[in-house]
Amino acid sequence: MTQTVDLTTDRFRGRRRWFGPLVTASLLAVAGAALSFGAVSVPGDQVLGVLAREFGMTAFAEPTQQAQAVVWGIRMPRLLLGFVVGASLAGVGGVLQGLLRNEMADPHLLGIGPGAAIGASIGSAVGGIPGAISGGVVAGVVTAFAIRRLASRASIDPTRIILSGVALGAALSAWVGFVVFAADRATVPPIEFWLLGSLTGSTWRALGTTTVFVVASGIVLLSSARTLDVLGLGESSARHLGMDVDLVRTVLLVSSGVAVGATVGAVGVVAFVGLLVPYFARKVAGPRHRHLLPASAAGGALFVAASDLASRLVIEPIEIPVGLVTAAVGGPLFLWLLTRRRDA
Amino acid sequence: MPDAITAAGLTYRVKDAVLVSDVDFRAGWGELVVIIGPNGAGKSTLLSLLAGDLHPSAGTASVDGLSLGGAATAELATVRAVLSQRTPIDVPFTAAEVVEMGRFPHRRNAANSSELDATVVGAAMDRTDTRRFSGRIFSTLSGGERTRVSLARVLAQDTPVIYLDEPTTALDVAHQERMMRQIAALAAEGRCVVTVLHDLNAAAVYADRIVLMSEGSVVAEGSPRDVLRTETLSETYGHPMKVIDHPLHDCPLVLPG
Repeated sequence: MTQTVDLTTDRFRGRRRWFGPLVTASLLAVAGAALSFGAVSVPGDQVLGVLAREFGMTAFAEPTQQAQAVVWGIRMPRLLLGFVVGASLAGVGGVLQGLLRNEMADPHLLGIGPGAAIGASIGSAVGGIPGAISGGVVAGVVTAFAIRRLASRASIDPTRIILSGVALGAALSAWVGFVVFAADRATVPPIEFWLLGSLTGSTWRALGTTTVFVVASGIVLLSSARTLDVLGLGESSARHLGMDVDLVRTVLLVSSGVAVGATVGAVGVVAFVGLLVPYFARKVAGPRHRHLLPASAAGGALFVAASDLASRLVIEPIEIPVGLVTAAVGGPLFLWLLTRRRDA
Repeated sequence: MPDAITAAGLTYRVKDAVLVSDVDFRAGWGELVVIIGPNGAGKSTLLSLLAGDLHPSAGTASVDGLSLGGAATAELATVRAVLSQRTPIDVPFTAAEVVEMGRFPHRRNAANSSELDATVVGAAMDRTDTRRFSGRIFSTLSGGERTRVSLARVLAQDTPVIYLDEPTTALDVAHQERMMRQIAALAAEGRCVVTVLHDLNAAAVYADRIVLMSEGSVVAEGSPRDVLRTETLSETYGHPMKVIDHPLHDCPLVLPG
């Protein structure tokens, strides 16, 4: 009788075992700090008191009205939107890197972010925040289709697709400027909101709308984990194994466009998350996408929420765009990862 | 039972160049068919047409009763597997993970592999002598080791028809022989195996039938003794060849002059 091969375990199992609890603990720590710290400092027992009362309990300290308004009305939706945006961008980054077989793929570098920002800025002139998010989703999908066309013409060379995306992104960013400067300044957020990203002024409504789009596309992307693994063998082998590669590309790019477009509509283009986080997650969780994608999403949520916290606290009381923090931290960190000796 | 492979009038053009011209092809169950010919003869293109990778400019082909023009990619993957030369090197998965991907056509939606998968993967790795490095990353393996792992993946796909494109190119002499014996054994088990080879003597020893191509057309077809002839080979390859009786096997031996 033939001996079987153990396919359930792999060399990253040990790392994943500590990564899960570590990320969870870090997310909780960032959440606690984000709800407590800021221009108005809310003590921990007051924060817990607010949370308890929102869930119908009367535990912990009786919160002041101000604490109630700051923690639940302002900081909570902002924290959660940071989680959703980070998870979405990093998850999509992991998907695109697998799809293009290139670790340098990133939704914003490929032009999806700037493209979505055009639709989002137009949408915000028409319909406020829901308009911005819907516009971002539509334009994100359209840009993803444009990249799909580029990809089908130069299917052999993913590097060319990425370079094309960079050029496309630069041109589209300029168009965001045209839209913003032509629009009414009272209704459309300024250029730095769209191109640098900001979680300032996050609302429960923006959180709800964004989450619907991100969860819907996230289900499609997460369920494609095995497909993305097989694509790692190359397009030709994937076809031999019965994969409809063209259909897979279309579905994954459209879903990516939806997920990224919704985040851009809500908070603008937050740089580096989709590039850095999956790269790091791959070292921890391994290359198999059913581990890599959730690890990327968790890491992205942590990275964006922590960066947003820093953006509020670094030059208090001034808030700097969160994209500046992610780029300022992410850039050097990414260079360090790239130049480090290549191990596991 | 439908024929293993039938093709009629296969033609493949790219702009003005005709890479494969009006080729008829048949292969039966239990048969090892070897396609030989000089560089640029259209061997790999013919294999790609028969595997359904390329759509012919003219002609039709079917594999195990499935018409290549009409069959869905997923359906095709249950009747034929392909060992191609185009597998990228920079694959981040372990050898075992790569072999396991051969099970993709059989359980597209299930996340966890079944007992059957583990058994089939284990058997495929034993057959190809790759279990020793099952935990190593594919990209860190030597060219020959990668070829064997890829063959194991093809075996794990468990299809009645198997196509191989120059499977022995990266292998040392001992592993070339091993590979050819494995290929011959696959055919002997009742599968249909079609392979492109450069090694004429491996073709002479192991092929049930040889198809000799030149400039996109089939110039000779038949048993090794029928095809591997001094005049035919010298003319097709544009180089003097001498064919004698093999001292060890009952087949011809080709010596380049």
